[in-house]
Amino acid sequence: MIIILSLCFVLQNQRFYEYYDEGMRAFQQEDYEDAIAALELAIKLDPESSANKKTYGVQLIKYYPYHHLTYAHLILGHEDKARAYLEQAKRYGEDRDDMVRSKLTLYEGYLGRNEPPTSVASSPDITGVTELISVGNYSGALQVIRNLQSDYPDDESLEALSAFAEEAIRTNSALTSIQKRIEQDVGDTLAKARTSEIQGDLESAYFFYQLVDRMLPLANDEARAFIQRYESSLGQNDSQEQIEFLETRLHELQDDNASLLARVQDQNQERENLDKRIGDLQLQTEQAKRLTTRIAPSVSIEWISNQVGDLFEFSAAITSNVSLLQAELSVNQKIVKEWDIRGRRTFKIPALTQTDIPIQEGLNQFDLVITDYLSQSHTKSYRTNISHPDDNTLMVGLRIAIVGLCFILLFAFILLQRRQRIAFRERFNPYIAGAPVLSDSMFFGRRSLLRQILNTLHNNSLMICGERRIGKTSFLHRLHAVLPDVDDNEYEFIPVLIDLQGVSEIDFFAFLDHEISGTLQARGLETEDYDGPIDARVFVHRLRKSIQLLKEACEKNPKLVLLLDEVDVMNSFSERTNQQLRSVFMKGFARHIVAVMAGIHISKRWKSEGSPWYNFFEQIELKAFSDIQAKTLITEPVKGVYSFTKEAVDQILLLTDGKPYLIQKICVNLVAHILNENRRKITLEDVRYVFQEIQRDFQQAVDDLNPELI
Amino acid sequence: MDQRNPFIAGRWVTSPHFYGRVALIDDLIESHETCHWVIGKRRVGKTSLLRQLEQQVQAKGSSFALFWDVQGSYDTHGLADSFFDAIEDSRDMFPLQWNTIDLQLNAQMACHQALKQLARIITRKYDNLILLIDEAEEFINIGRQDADYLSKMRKIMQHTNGLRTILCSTTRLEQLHQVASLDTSPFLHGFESRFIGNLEHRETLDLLSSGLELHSVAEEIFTLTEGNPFETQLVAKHVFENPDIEMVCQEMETNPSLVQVIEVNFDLLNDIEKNIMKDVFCGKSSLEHFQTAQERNYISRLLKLGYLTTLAESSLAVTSHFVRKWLAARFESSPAFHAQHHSDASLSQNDSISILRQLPGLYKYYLETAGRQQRISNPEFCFRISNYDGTIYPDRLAIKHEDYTASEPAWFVAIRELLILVETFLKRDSSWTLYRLFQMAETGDQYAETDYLDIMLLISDEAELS
Repeated sequence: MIIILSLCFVLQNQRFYEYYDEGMRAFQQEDYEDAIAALELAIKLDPESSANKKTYGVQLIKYYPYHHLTYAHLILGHEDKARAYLEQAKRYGEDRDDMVRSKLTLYEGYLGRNEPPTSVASSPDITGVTELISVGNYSGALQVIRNLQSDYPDDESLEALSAFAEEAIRTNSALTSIQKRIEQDVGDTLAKARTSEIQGDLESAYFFYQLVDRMLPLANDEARAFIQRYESSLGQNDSQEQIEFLETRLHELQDDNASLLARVQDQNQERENLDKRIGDLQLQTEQAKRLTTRIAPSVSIEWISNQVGDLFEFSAAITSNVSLLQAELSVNQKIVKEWDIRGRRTFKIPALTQTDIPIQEGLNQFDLVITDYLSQSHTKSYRTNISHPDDNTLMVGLRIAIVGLCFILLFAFILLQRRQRIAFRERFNPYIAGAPVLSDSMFFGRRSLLRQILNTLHNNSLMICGERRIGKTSFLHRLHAVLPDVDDNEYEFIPVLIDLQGVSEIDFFAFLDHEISGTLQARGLETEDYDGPIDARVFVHRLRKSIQLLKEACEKNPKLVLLLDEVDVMNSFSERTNQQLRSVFMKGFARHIVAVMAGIHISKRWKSEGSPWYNFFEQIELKAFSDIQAKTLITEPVKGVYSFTKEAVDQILLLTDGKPYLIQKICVNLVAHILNENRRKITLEDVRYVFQEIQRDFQQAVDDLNPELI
Repeated sequence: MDQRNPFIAGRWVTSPHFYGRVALIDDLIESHETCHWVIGKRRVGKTSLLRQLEQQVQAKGSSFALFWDVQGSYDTHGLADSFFDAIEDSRDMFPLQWNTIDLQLNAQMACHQALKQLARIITRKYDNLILLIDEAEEFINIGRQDADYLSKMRKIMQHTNGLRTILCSTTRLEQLHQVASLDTSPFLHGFESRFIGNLEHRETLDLLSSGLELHSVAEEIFTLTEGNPFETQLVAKHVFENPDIEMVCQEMETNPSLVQVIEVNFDLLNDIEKNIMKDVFCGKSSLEHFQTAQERNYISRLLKLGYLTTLAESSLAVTSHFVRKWLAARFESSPAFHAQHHSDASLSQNDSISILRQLPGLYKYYLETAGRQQRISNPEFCFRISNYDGTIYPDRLAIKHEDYTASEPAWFVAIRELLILVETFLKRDSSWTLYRLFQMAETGDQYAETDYLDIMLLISDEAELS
């Protein structure tokens, strides 16, 4: 997983020339799709072509991606793109190269012969314009006309329509202002009429209501009702003189308000003219509509999505045969963006990334709803699988983790290199030929046996037999090291390492007592001093007390593990002493004692009638290493610092027969030899050379291991 | 940590690790006899039996038990030391019981006096003092040095009120008669002898179920060991670590601990018992083959001790797969291992085919002799041929060896000496292959030992076919 992530990281951080290199390789293998993908990534990072592009250091390459892209797109039938890249190739000067120029000429000739039918009609499509005009949207129509004029700058009909639209906008504006003024005047006059009516000046009220009635093309209900009410009252109650008076009064009022009336009349006239003009325009529009060929609206979309690493980009190119009004993008049913594309037939949605759109890991749906000038909607959908979620936090975290990991790896690598240098400088030679192995890192080949013994030691005493230098002492040392840490539910193991080499029979029990007391003292437990000679009985007595001390001090049941090395000396002891030792293990406190003894062999010459002292020990033979164990001992200690060839390892196995001491002996000399030669690899020749050098010592060691063969 | 191995093949055990022996323990506790001698071979569980008895008696409370390991005592002083040590050990193990006992022993006191005093004090509080003496073979050493002292000990053991004694030892203790001639009755007179043999089938399965789940595996182990406690524990211990019982079985056949115990136990037997074992192994399995009362007595004892077992139709068999394997290896290594019987005839010219057939085996014996830098001086009278299985074996009573130093390797000396034997009973040209063997031996050192072995095997095969 780490490797994959690291690779992603590495790939994601590729330089332009690496993409270019990838693209060129794919190109040469005629894998044009991959070539395009890689080259496009390259130009995205560095769009400038160059005959001598600097990559890293002083490395220069010929960086001409565009003519390759042109060719690749030509092969795949993407003539539009080929044409675009052809232009780019020229733009960035790739045609300065003779060969590239000849190729570009060739491509150009091909593309020229296959010129696509132009999407721009010989005469502009003004259907959108007329439709807008027909609904009175003159400013919308004017915008569409101007768009069209960018494609058809010399088209007369567009010019006329433009003038008309401008005129219509102006007229409409004037009409609107007149209407506003009329409405204001009507409001004022109505206010005056109401005020006069309230004040009882019915004549003035009658006049103002009459004025309102004349100002508006349609009757004002309020004014009309008052006028009828007033005139009927006059007919029933008032004399003719009063009516005449009112008429006179009305004329006077008319005179007083002559300017107002004139303005009302002017406004009415102006409005009529404008209505007429609009009628003419509408007539012209209708005629234009009839002249324009009806085109069935069609919209096509090229979806563009690209994912590089965790970066997702989305875009789409809209192409239509009619003018468009609006485009609306939804992602996964959520509207994310709208574009006003009034009057346009093509439109490319700007590139959107996961920060702009709500994409998610897995299948995502993109819906584009495009509305054309006829308000007809065209819905296009696109589905794509996105492998990385738009989880910036996660991605950032992941990146940080990967960067951190890379740093750790780098740090570890540097440390390793440093360690190797130091090891080499300090003549690192971990093999031990002679002394027992004390460190865990150099303990090889016996771990399985160690585990097995640890699993049985709580109940069983053992005797480890094996030839000289087979690793018995090292094994006891390892037991001594691991026993205190054994996690046992019932027992706490207290190992006592006792080397019997050179111990005389007379001192035997005193020596055991001394070693056990020393172990207890190291744990802070003080045993009683005893000045007299320590024989078997005294030893048993003191051992019983020592175990009592341990029982009081330990949380679990104490298990004193006597690790007795070089027990061969006991072969020279009397059978009585041996039996006395055996009797120790028959005591009641013996449940708190086990022993692991190590020796070459036990004398089976047992003359006594009693039980042989050794017969309650299970004997375990420590054998030479298997090939696998031996190989581990040869190679592991110097791993990362020195190395062995396979032949060298095989030769060592052959010479040593899996004897750990001999392996260590030859390896210690091998490392010394290559260090003298300032090398780090051990070869078959080294093994042969070293073996020859130490042959006498080696043979002596072999003889020491097998004294009976001498 | 892995699950701990529950099997114990070494130290003594008590409950809950102690299995079986129920009837024997009941008998030893409830018996009206005051002195018992429990006889068993090595590693059969004698110490565990005594420790279990001690635990049960102390738990019951009516009697008081004292375990006394006399091994290594060597003399009367050592015996006293071991006795005082036994008391100290018992105080350590059963402090509550000892709290009620007011015992003031003088360290300079002789063992028999201390024992008498202890018995007297203990019986004030308890019905009996049950003295559990382990490794009683040590009395042989003591008897060798002070036979009278054994009389005193015997007197106290057998005539002290409230004292009951249970001795445990191998059959070696019988030698006490020979090494210590007492003026009065022999030491073991008055001791009721009991035998401790193998565990019963049910008891063995109970033991195995403490760590092995599969009943079939337990049955298989019982088939191999036939209830020998040490062998059962040892095999189970290894099967616990490696469930491949077949592999474990092969390992056990050469396991030094097991082989050593088998050897020690075989050496405990007297010559008649050894011969019975060998004969039974060689196929003399019917009881009818053993006619004398002495033989029948020994067979009875070997059965009780667990050396032999009875199969269907009163046929005998050597108990334990591992003992059989050990015997097979011994027979394979040398014809000298064969049981010797006076009834077997000496080798004669009538046995020529048998000689040829057993040529490789005889070579082994000669090689063994040459390895000791000896040669047989009377080849014509030194071999017998078994009436039962036809094996030619050296007559240990008649054979004469003389020291011999040769410049040739031992194997060549063995070939040359063997051919002297062959020529005593056969003509060298009785077959082409035999002639060739003689020819090779006469041409000197241009042939390797393997060349001779090859031709001897060929001669053997030819004789087998004839």
